[in-house]
Amino acid sequence: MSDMIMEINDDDFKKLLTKLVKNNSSNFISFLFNSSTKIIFENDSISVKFLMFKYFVKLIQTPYYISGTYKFQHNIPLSRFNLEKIPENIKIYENELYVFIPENIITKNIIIKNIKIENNLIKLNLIS
Amino acid sequence: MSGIKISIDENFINNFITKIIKDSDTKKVKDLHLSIENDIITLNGCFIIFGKEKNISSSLELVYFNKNFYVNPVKLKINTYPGVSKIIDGISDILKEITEGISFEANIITLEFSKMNFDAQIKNILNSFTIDNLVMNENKFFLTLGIKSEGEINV
Repeated sequence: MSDMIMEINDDDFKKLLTKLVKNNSSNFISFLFNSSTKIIFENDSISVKFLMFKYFVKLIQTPYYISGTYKFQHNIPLSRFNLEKIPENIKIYENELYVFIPENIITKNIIIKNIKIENNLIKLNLIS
Repeated sequence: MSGIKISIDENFINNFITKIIKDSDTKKVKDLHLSIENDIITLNGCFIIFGKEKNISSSLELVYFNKNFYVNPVKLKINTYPGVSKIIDGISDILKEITEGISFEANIITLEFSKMNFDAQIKNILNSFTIDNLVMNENKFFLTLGIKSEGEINV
């Protein structure tokens, strides 16, 4: 075995991301992480529940190394949001969302073996 | 379950170190491997000392860490025989390729994460965590990170 395994639950994931994006003024980001939004991990998807609405963001493609582009499918209605202020490393289109993680000496030497999203957990299995 | 649970196998770290040595192009370290047991990290390496290869073994012990590791230094004691400065020089060469915030004095390695030259987002992530539990055993690190509440964030 030469693995690194990380597990984080949906509540802690939301807490962490809320801190990361707290200075971002995009109303799209605010929607995803405001206190009324519930984030649920299930069936390899991240569901976002807001009032009576439920949206999903599903990871469909990961890079070989931890740096690179992560591709997601989503059904979030983009017309409701101002997308100009989202972080530069996030690109969002109708039904597709891309997150880019920059390369450095650490990220380019760690390989993604597996990412599972289920039972309120994200489980990330990395190899070097 | 609360917090972020991380387990890291020593083989993961050893493969990673091998790649970093190759990428950093250091001339002082040929090889470096570690093993983990009973909260002690044993290091075995092949170093270039005065132009000759020398195999050196030593151990690392965590002597101080505070739960709030981002603003408080983490201290590791290195136990070895004379010649240790060459090991430290070699490891220092590799680590300086990655970051500042690492110093060596009287066999104590001090890690100061707030001084490390990561980008602002990485610093923000590190400053969001606390070390709630750290165990080094069975050839693995077992780490539990907590997430600070808003009032606990130190700038």
